[in-house]
Amino acid sequence: MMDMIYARWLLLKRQLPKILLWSMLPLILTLAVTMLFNSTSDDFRVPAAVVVNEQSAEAETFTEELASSKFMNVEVFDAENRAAAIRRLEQYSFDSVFILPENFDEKIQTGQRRNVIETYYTDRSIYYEPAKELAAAIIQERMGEYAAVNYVLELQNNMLFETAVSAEDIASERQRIENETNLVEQSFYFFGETENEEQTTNLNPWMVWAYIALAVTIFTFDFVTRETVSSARIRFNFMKHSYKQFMILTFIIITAVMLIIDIITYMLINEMLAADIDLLSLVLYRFIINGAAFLLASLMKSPMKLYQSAVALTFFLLALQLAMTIIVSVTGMPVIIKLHPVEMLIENQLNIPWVILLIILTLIWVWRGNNAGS
Amino acid sequence: MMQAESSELEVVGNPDMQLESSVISSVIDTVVRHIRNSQANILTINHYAREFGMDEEAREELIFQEFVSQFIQVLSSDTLMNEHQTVQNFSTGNMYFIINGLFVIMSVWIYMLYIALMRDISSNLEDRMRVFGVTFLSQGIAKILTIGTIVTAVAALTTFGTLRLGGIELPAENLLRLLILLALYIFTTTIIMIIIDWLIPSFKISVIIQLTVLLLVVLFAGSILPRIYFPLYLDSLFEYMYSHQALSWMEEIILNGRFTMEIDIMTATLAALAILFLIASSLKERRLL
Repeated sequence: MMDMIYARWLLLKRQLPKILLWSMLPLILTLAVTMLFNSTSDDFRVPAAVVVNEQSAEAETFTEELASSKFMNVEVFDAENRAAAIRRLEQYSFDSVFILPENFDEKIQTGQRRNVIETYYTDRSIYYEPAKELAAAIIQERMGEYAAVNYVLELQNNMLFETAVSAEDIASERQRIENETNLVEQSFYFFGETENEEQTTNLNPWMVWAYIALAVTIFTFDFVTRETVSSARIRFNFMKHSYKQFMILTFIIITAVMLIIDIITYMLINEMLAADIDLLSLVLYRFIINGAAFLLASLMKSPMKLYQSAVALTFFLLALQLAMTIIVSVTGMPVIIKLHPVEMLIENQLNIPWVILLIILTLIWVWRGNNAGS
Repeated sequence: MMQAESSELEVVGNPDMQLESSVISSVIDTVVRHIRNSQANILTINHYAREFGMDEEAREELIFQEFVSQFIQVLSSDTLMNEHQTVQNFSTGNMYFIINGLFVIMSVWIYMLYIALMRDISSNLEDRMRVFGVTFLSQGIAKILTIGTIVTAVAALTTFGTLRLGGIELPAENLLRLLILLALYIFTTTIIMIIIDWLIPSFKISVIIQLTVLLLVVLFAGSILPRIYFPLYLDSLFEYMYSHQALSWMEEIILNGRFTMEIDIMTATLAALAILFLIASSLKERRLL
């Protein structure tokens, strides 16, 4: 065994820097892509418009609150430019338009709840629903505050016969209660974890990593293709160890090294990008893509064809995953999700079917064509 | 909650249904915001009622009624707004997404065909080809013409077929314009791929770079995410991007029935790339690259 390992080491020694570089690539690319995405995705804002028919304190509060959302980019129009705003909406320059009527101030203060504002959206508005919710929340808050203040004033009138507190006092008391007493909060976590996970709209770095790792692994296994078709293979028939033994040993060593790198990747991505994944499904994923790459490489007749099939396979799986929801709804078979290795990885599932499949195929490869090389 | 003590609402999500749980979480966020609001209101009333000397029973009755009223307000938040959807033309709504999808698919086709045509040349064959006088330039032009013509033909057929299915009838001159836009885009993208391939000796690295460039070209065409959603500092990039010009004029012609198109940026890009292509091919010929 040691001589096989030594032989493999001699063969790999010349390409060592390249191999090391390629094995670092998935990690580096994943970090780069995810960090780039995260840092710019905050700047992607939804363009919305607010048409203010009558300038008032409430109108200003509404516009300010809406603009302070980190998802929206609010542009303010006054009454005479209302048509311009709507036209820009129709030209798809705005995601949604909120129109504050003339007596907006009055409506808020007297709590008239029906049709306080008008909203316009289009069939291409991707952010209308959350924007609408935000606007509704703002309006409700303002109305609620006025209603509470008025109610207390009324109470005061009925119960005391003097004005001990004024509207401003009540309002500031309410503010104090809201800020200082720290009312209902939500803590959301997934079953099985104990910390609070932050809700982000960020890219799952493991998905990026999975596809890059798939392509890079197949690229790395091109030496299998070259050795399978090389003329030196015949010499194995006269040697102590068979070709298959040699390749299997190589496979085990390479998989072990890649696993070590994967564990480093796991720790780094957890640290830096705070994206967790089940370690066992990661390990299984590594086994699966290594096995698949190995078998694919031994099937191909030339390295170029291997690279072509690597790219084709990656594209195919990516397209499948992106269209997964559509496929499932069309065929009505959610079990299809279980067939996609990257899907399984992301959902922290253990991809046993693929492991079994690959073991069977490897066994076939070992036993078949013992005479094919000679 | 009634005593103004802070409380926590624990929501446990099913880790197997992450997307649904996130949606529920954001809905609950809104609900919690509403509850906080109502709670503040009720507590203010409670506070003052106690201060004004209302008796226990009456106060609790009051609070309860207030609570119910706030609850109903939260539920009925939909009536707050008078909503209008500007519907231009229902079929064009979906057609927009279809055109964008076709654009992305077309770009992927270019790359797939490019990969398929990668020649498996051993040095033997290469030497013989050089003896025959086959230059890199001719190989490159051959690739451009093949990929360009095939993908343009298939893309044009697909587009016209989709238009027919979508019930949009365009006059012949507009179909011709679409064809020109498609052809310009496809040929330009192909030349970019080939130049990258020539510049970089290692196949594997060039694949990665080609994929990145392709992604950027498609992304900055505004097909995956519309242009207006991009931050301001990226907006000027769209002005100079040939893919954006191609896609936006395709949309204008198909969806808005325009009879013009601007191809200034595309032709300029194509010309510049053609020059780069010629330079690269001559460098490659002298084995400098």
